[in-house]
Amino acid sequence: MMGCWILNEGLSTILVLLWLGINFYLFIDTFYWYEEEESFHYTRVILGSTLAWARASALCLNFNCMLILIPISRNLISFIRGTSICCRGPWRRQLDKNLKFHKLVAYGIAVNATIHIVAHFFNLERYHWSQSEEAQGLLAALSKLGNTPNESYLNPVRTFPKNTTTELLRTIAGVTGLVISLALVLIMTSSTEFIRQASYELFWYTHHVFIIFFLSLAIHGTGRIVRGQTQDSLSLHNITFCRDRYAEWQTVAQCPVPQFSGKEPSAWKWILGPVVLYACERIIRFWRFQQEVVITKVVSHPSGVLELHMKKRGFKMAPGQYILVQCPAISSLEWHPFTLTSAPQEDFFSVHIRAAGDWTAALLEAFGAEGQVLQEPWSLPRLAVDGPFGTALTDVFHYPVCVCVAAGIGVTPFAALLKSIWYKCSEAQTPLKLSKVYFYWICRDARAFEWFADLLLSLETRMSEQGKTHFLSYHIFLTGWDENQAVHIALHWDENTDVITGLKQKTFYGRPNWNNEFKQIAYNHPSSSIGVFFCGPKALSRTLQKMCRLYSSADPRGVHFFYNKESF
Amino acid sequence: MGQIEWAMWANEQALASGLILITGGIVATAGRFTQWYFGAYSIVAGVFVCLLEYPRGKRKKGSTMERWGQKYMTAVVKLFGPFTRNYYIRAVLHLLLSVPAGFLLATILGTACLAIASGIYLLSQVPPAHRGNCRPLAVRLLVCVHVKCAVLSVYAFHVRKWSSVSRLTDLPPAGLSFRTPSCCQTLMAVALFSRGHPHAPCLPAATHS
Repeated sequence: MMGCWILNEGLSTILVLLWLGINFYLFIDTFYWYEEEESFHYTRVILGSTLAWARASALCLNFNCMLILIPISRNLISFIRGTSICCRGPWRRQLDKNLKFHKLVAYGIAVNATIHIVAHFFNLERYHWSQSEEAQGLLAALSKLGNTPNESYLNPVRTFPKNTTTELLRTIAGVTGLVISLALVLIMTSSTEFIRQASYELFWYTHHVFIIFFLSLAIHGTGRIVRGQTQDSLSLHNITFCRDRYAEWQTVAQCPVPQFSGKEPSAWKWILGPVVLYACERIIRFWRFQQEVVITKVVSHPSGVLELHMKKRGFKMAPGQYILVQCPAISSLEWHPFTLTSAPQEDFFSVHIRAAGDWTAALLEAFGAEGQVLQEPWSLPRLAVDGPFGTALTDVFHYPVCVCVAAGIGVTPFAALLKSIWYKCSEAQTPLKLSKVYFYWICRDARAFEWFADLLLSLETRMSEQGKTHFLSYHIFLTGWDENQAVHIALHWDENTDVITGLKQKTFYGRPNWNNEFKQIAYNHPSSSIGVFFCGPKALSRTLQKMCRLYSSADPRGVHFFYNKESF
Repeated sequence: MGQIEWAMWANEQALASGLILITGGIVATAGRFTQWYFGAYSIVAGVFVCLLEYPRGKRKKGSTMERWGQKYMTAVVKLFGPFTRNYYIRAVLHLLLSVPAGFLLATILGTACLAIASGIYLLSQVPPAHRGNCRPLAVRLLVCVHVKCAVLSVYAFHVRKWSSVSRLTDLPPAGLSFRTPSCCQTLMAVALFSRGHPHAPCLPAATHS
């Protein structure tokens, strides 16, 4: 447990450093190869070391373009997650950071693309200049190669046009390069966090320009304009001897005219695998979309929350996971994530959807959540479900004591968890290792989560029926209230049940004092391993981590808090 | 598809284009490429575009995340009043700024990106539906094109009537367009930039030199 916990924290950093290391290795290795390779000696005479810069960044680009499609192949990641690897926890958590890795690789592509483009601007400019009348000596001789029938050319720029732009647009590499760069810029400008939050549709649709990106990348090198001396020519033409005798190349037998050939395109070899994989991924998503999803129950909660109970063949879930839902009647391209709120032991799966944007508002309207009229089952719109995805919260069952903290909408995964805990408690066969759960719910406005309060109420009743009243200890903190509410609360303070939630445990007002809470929990369980699970904003996550470190005792037999850093 | 706020994307795209123009300009100037003076222009244009686009405009609905330190630039940008507030003017400005950079290889990517940003700004100003007498921009543009073609054809007819066919074919296309009467050009400009002009531009009688 302890070893895995250390691996948890460090594994992300190790993987990032590994990726960075591979990039640097590929860059430096290719750079030195192109700087020292004999067959590119004459190319270097014209271009200098910008050839090596361009080729090294090209190889890194190939590597990163290969990697970029893999983190977003959701079904592949779920498949990997399903197989058991040793120390499952930390590796599974890395799989949850797939989007962060995708962004990191995208930044890598941007940096390498900049180096590649700048280097090739210099290359094209130098090729262009060496065709001018001012070019003398070896440079001019090399540029003139290819003018007679028996010669192969070195300089892809054959004449001296006024404008290098026309030269660029005459080559396949130039045109595809421009298209690729534009595609990359469009993708990156529409993927900033602000745009994603302001208009997810714009981000999603523009991102599909990646199809043009990959197609252009595959044909980018087909022009073969990176030219080096052929092996046959190298064996006949001694560079060290012949390079200064360029005037005699035609005449002297020791120095036949050097022959050049273009480097064959290699980008397609790198990207073929991931492109095929991603194509399969989209086919699987489409096939899952076709699978029938039966809506068994629709509950419309008072504060604009829709609860949907659904069934699908072969659907298996764990608490804490999420599904992607599509409603073709609203939009044929959008899939939206929702955390599952049902327990795996139930014969259906459910989600709670709150109206928080265009799509969710349209969904609520389609399901008749707004009006009073009852909807007939056959008139309900069809839904497609993909998933479940995400890390399961099953680590909860490995600890004897758990502290679960939910802030605002982060309460949804804990709905599934608490239900699952209750079901496991009810199964008398296997006694649970878990014996105590502290649940903290911090919320600005409880009205949006009345359904969760109902769930807590039903759990409270069932626990007391089973005689396990002290199993679950929950604390609700309301951080926003108005005067009327405050007066109302003060008047009803002495009653048995809470006036807001109707629960036996009273609601607290304001934020929790974590020092006191952790102190109390540490005092209650002096020699236990306590797992801390959190879902909510980053600031609170940092506070809880600090508390875990502060209140874990130095004594190995004492109390230890293990903070599970999750992103639900 | 919900409400896509195109102007937000245009702003990001223009900012990125500005940075690309600056980079391309530095490469061309430092490397002393042929016609490197376009590179120098590109740096200046890029800096101007970045400064203009740095303050993020307020969204129609919802909260706007301000960029770090944008309040200093906002004060300067506000001084120019309607010239910076109006997205039509920004679109035309970006298009005009991008053209000179297109003559140099190192800055051609910046040109393309800024031209796209200009297009997105224009797209963001297309009104969603007919509002009273206001015509959608696409229709107005089409009307202008038809007006110009009609005027040119009337002019060409007059030229042909009074001269031989060979003289007509000798006339370069650029020459023809500069001969369109200035009143027609003004009317086109009015049609392009006006909102809700109730009357369609009428065809003036063409005059020939």
